[in-house]
Amino acid sequence: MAQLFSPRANIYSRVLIVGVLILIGGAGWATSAIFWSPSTTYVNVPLDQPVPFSHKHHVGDDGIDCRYCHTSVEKSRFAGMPTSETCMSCHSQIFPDAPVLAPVRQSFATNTPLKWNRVYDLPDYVWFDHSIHAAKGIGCSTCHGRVDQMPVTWRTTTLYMKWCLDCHREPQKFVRPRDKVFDMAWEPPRDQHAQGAKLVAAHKIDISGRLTNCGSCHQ
Amino acid sequence: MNEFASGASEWPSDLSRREFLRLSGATVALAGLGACTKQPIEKIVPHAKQPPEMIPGKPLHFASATTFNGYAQGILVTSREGRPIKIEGNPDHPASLGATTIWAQADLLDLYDPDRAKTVMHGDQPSTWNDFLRDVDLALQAQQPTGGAGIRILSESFTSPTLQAQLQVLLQKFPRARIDVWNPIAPDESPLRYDLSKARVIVALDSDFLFMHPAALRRARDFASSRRANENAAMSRLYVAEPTPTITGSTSQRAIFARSRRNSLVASASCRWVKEVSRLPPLTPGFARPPRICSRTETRAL
Ligand code: HEC
Ligand code: HEC
Ligand code: HEC
Ligand code: HEC
Ligand code: HEC
Repeated sequence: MAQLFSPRANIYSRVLIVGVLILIGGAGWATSAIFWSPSTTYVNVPLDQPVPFSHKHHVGDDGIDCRYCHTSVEKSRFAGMPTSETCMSCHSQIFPDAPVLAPVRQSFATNTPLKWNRVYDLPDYVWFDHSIHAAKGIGCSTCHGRVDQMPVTWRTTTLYMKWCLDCHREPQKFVRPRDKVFDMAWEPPRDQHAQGAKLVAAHKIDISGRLTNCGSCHQ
Repeated sequence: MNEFASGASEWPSDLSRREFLRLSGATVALAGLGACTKQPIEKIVPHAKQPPEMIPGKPLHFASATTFNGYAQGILVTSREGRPIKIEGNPDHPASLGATTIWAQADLLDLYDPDRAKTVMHGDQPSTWNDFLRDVDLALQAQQPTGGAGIRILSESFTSPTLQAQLQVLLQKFPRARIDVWNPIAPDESPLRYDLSKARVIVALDSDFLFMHPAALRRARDFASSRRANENAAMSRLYVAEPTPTITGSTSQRAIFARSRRNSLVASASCRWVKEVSRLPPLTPGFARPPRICSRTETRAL
């Protein structure tokens, strides 16, 4: 019987095996790169808004409290968005004729709402609640970053399930005193581990494992 | 109400079993592709002016009323983002006591009925309220000289004092106008509130007061409380003469079937039954041997 494979077949097969491995690895790397890329996660991608609203000016420079505009953040699942009336409470005096504010004035006059583009957006099958996080000492900046330094709002976190779980597994790494929840400048102190453990006990944060139950977030 | 497109529930005759499996396979495969997309940008739409009673993201509960046969029944409505999603009874309302009728529950479906009018229509053209009011104005002006002799207002029965007052104003302007109130289905019921919890013997003549009645919820509660053997020395008794089987009839000690025009006959006889029955020893549950309230000949005569 004649030789089916020439000696060269050895080389071909090695090249093939290595090639397939590289291909699989490459595909995996590409998938992960797409998965974590800003174009998928929207992290650090500023969005167009009907009015170029700047948290940097309003919060950072003017020192307006988050709750002046996001009124229901301590009471409800939804943080609440300022109504056009809220903007007009100042802008009927400050910049009353500025062209950038025309959509706000028109919305107020015609009683038709402004439509903001959502920056932080969970899929509809995830249940999230602001009030519990604020009540248990998780600050805005832990999840939304230094909003007070953003001229336009962008995402600082992926909102992937892993991100939620990283904290739900070890809340002591992130928890802060309740009166610092709205403090944008708060940084974890050097002994956060000890402080956090104390706060977890003081705020009665549930560390029985219920927070990582699928049912907490997928109701 | 049909939520599916017409014919959607019929099996198309030109689709073979193989074809169907092939298509559903493709559907499943394509559905998986959906996971490969990223989230599209969504909108947040706050109010232009915040209604003070609302906390966005929290359900709003408020008291309201629904009507049955013109009479109000108190309800509590749960509403999310301005859309009512649940109706329950109002415990503080005397005609509800925390319960609702099936019709009150169905009011929600009514609200989202796709056949519900969404705008003012003129013939089959969409119109506006302003146009409507102008046309009504013109029509009413034409009636001015005759004192409204050509005006007829048709209405279901109602008990709203506001509507009553408004109609009175209209009648003052157009004294010869006529208002006709008519209810196609439900019988005229006396608005009187009987306290059934105190009654020992109840005779209902063609009256489905436990179900088809504006005060049915309250009466069912009162009636039930008079039937609780451990709280009452004597349970109440209910006798019913009715033309068709009803909830009230099936709850009674004895129901006889009688055409409604025989009611006066039954009523005259019932006085005797009531006297008879009130002399009987208390009924014991599980040992109920209700008296025959009519003799066989009486029943036949009805
Ligand atoms: C003067 C009113 C005002 C104040 C004060 C304010 N915000 Fe905002 N915020 C807005 C408006 C308007 C938007 C929508 C436009 C945008 O996304 O930039 C917004 C959007 C946001 C968003 C993005 C929401 C989304 O998903 O689209 C976050 C997060 C946020 N604000 C956090 C904060 C925090 C944290 C504070 C306090 C430090 C704060 N805001 C104070 C008005 C305000
Ligand atoms: C508490 C008062 C107050 C409220 C409420 C407020 N603003 Fe302002 N806004 C200011 C002041 C003060 C400035 C000037 C800021 C500066 O230049 O530092 C300003 C400036 C602006 C400007 C000009 C561009 C800029 O950032 O300098 C825009 C646009 C604007 N605001 C939009 C809004 C919108 C939209 C809302 C409602 C969500 C709003 N503002 C609510 C006080 C307010
Ligand atoms: C645990 C993380 C976390 C914390 C802490 C947090 N947020 Fe959020 N925030 C989110 C997520 C996730 C969303 C997107 C919610 C959605 O899509 O339903 C969001 C959305 C928002 C929005 C858009 C409106 C909405 O509710 O969907 C605003 C405004 C906002 N946050 C403001 C705040 C403010 C102000 C604070 C500080 C009290 C805060 N957030 C604290 C995670 C957080
Ligand atoms: C930085 C920390 C942190 C992050 C990030 C975080 N959480 Fe939480 N979450 C908490 C803490 C602390 C609690 C309060 C636990 C308790 O009730 O004691 C909580 C509670 C909750 C609850 C209420 C659970 C219950 O049953 O009481 C839900 C729902 C929830 N989180 C959803 C989410 C989702 C969804 C995300 C991601 C988008 C998320 N959280 C991200 C810290 C966090
Ligand atoms: C702390 C909150 C939280 C808990 C607990 C949680 N999830 Fe999730 N889950 C999320 C969030 C947020 C997302 C959305 C991630 C995204 O945007 O891709 C998600 C997405 C998912 C998805 C869809 C993934 C995709 O890309 O389509 C699945 C499946 C899922 N979760 C299963 C589970 C299971 C199973 C458990 C229990 C072991 C669980 N989750 C527990 C927050 C949670």
